[in-house]
Amino acid sequence: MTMSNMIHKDLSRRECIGGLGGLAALGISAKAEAAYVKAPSRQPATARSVIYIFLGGGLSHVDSFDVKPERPEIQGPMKSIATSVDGLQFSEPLSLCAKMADKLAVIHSMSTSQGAHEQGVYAMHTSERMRSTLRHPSLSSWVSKVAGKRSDNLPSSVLIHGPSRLPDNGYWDPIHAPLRIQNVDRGLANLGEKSNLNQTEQRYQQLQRFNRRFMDQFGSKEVDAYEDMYREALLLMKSEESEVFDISLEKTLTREVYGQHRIGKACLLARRLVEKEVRFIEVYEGGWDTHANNFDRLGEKLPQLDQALGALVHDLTMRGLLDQTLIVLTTEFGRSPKLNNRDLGRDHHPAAFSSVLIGGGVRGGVVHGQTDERGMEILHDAVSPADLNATIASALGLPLSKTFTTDQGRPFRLANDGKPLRELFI
Amino acid sequence: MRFIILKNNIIILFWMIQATPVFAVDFEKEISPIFEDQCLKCHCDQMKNGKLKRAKADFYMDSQLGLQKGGVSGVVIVPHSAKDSYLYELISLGTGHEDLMPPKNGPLKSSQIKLIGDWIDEGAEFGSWLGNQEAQLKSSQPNTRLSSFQKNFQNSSSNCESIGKPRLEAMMNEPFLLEAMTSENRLFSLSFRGYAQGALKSLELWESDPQHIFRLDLSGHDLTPLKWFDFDQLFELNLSHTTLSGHLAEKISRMTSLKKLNLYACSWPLSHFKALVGMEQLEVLVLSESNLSLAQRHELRATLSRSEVIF
Repeated sequence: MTMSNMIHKDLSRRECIGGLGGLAALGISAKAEAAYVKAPSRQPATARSVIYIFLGGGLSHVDSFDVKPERPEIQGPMKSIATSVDGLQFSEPLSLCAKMADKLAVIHSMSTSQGAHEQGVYAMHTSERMRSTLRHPSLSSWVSKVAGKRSDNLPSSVLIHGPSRLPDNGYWDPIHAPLRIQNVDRGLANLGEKSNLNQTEQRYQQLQRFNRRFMDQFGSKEVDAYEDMYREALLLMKSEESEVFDISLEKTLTREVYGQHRIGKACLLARRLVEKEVRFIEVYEGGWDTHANNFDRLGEKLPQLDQALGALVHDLTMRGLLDQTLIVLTTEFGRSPKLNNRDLGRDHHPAAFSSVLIGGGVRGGVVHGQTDERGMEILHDAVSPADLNATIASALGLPLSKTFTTDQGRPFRLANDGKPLRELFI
Repeated sequence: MRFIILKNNIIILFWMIQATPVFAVDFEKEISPIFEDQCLKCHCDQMKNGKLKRAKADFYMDSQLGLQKGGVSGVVIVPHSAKDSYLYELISLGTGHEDLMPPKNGPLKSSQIKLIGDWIDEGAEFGSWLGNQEAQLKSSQPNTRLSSFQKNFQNSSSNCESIGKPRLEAMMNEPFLLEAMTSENRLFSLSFRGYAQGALKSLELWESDPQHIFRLDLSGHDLTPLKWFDFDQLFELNLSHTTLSGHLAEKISRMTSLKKLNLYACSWPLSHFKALVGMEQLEVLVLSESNLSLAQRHELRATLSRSEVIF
């Protein structure tokens, strides 16, 4: 035990956390809270990290994971291919996914009540409907709030390529918002030169001296939150771990395998972050809103997705990390099986869409739920956005039944009482 | 019976009541109708839209064997102890609880819950009721859906007590990451990844009760100085980017509980290559980027035919 004092990674950070107070804070106290998860659930945590790939705009389920090859009027020019799972077919551009289908749990019965982009994205991320009086936190912020962070210097969750309108910390403290990486090529922007750090730190201390009187008099949680953010940023700037954001440190071959496009680069960064034990990484990939010219656009987008996902699964497998990393592929809603007349486009279709789970203890080669022969309606086992979030949280071993209270005294539960699909896990 | 030898009439009377319970709950008349009405919609095989829907959670409630055997969470009825029975726990949860059974129309009436509790407390006797013969047959087959993760987790979990709060709190100050795998605080995932080399000293804190560690991650450390390493219930060990001694390699190869060994970019002591060859207990062995030669990797893939050897 005496040893421990010598090898504490960073005491200053832990001391400064004291200000936030209680178990809701980060670091050590957050770890303690994670250890005392009080859920009667007996299901062990199978996953340790999540890579949540969100296809913004609405992935066409009938052109990807829920194809209807017997219905040419629905399928248009998109061909279907057999997968490694008997009776399951994917669309032709998803050839790597088809090969590794035995590792995938495909949910054919996702369904949402929200048919507009902002509302749909909100529902998927927060498990709630948008309200005018309140912003709900995203699942990533919940994970930060409930499980805390693992590394002293790295955040609990990272959002790659996410547009600013995505829900973040909501009613939880700003410290639980994911760290945003706007452009993987530039890595973590404004990190600054390590050689200038002393100067930055001196300036920061100066700032604190100026602020002290104000803080003593008017200090509030909101003001403290800014302080926390500065501290976190400084810690990250000082830390060697900030290198994790630089994908140019990867071999050229690796980068080629993932693909030199946005989603490939984002997935490569996600893998680097998993290795550093970041709990929740969201990769946002827009451009799936194919109202017009659906097939040409999917002809470009799907192969990129397939390449990045295939590379990610392969890479994590080779590193022995797939078992503990849950990959989620989802979107805000599906697209109408009926083609419109704008160069064969597809409009929004919230009644049915697909999501895919891989790794993190997921049983592979499983299909959950079913749509009708046209991909219009769910026949059985419908899965709501809250159910999917509950499934992810449950894989991480987080408590779904525990009530958390906001500063205003309002009670909320992680995943809004969604039912986890435990049968999809080992 | 020594009670009879005592010739104490009262005790004999007591014993007789115990042996032939007068007020016992009758399964077929009282419990089975509740199950049929409230549980069998999900917990038995049925045809729906022309497709066979299997019993949820592999738990067949339409036969005696099925009820006794339980489902993916293991045994759910512990005769004579409703409080230790998972089935009773799940039906007793409050309204709106995520795990409450039945999930849609639950909870059952309190009189029904009590009846089921009494029936279990009285020994969960089925009388002459056997139930669905076909389901009976299915239940008697080994439960193939129970993964090795679950099996090992259940076994290891039942082999150790919960760690108390004070000890856990003290552990939180140690230079490692300790995460409970369930709310019971019995089994943990322990990681030294990203910590300084000196942190490894704290591994010895587990010397007295290593059975709590189910997953261990020692990535990135030089393990040659390690002396003690006896995690008898370890399921998964991550040795990515590590260097280890022959002594440690031998120890690891003898860990029978170990199912997943990750040697990604690991320097395995080549003089102890044979130790790896004998590790038939493994289900997954990761060898990518390790110091093992291609020939050695292929040899392992050939000998450990039941495991997935990744490289």
